[in-house]
Amino acid sequence: MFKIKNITIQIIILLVSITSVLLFFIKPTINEIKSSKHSLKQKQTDLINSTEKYEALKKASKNEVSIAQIETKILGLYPDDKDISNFIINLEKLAKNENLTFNNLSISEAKSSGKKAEASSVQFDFNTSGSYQQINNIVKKLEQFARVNTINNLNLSIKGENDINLKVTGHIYYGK
Amino acid sequence: MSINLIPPKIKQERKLNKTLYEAVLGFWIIFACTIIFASAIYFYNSSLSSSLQSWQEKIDDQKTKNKPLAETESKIQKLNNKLIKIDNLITSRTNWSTVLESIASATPKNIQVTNLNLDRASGQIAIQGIATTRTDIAFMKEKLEENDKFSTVTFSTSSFNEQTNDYNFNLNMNLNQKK
Repeated sequence: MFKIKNITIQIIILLVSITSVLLFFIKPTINEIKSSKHSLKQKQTDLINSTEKYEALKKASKNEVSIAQIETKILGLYPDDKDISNFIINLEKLAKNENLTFNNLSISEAKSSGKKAEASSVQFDFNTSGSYQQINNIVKKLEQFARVNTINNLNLSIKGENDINLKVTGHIYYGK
Repeated sequence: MSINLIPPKIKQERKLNKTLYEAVLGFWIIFACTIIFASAIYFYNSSLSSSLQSWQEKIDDQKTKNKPLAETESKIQKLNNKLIKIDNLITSRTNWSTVLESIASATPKNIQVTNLNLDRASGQIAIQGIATTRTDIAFMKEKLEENDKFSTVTFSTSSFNEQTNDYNFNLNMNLNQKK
């Protein structure tokens, strides 16, 4: 009888031990392994990305001259600041190339609609007179201008083929 | 031939003892297997942890290598952002030169456009002109309607000018803007 009691106690102790090992060691370790495997995969991807980025940046930094050239072009199209004087100079050059003169050129702060995504802009207005060809050319050249712009309003008063008065209202953009 | 003379009570007790021993042995084997499995996963977990650590070190090394290039990266990032803004502006704007060309090509020789107003925000185009006949105005309206840049071409007024012997007219239409 004593023997049976002893064996039963042994079996109970073994059962408790197995359950404890399963619950308090094996289960958490398996969970840990799962998460470690996941983070290992993540780290491998991170390293590959980081190495690729390094190679790309290394190549790019070797071409610093071309980056600087691109930067100059992009900053010309979309400067960090308003840079109005440069815009006026280029606009005057454009008019001169077309043998046109601006009767009126004004620059004013654009009214913002308050939308966050809206680009910062400056409004410009100008008046000029010329032939249809000259007017068409200046509108075309404004579309290919060194400073990115949008024309919001265009008004043409035509007195004759060579006497067309053009009034333009548009925006130029800036920001970082 | 052997005769089992053991009394049935002892026989039963022995059988029970044997079963209990077998059960204990079975549990010991299960326990041993559990311990072996626990040790195996412990070592596997440790090797994974050290592997994780070594990958982290590699990443940190790579980051240190990347640091001197951070300036180039931020410069490129900034330029890319600007390019996106420029692209959005250019693709969404109206190319007025092509609009002017379309209006010019739709205007018959007998019509003289005196005023042209193009507004981007409302998408409205207003044309004022002088025509020799109403047929010319109708022809111009038809031509403009055929062009997919314009829609809702309306011929609002036309009045005959007895002094100059021609018609003053107004044409309004909408510009089909890019979305």
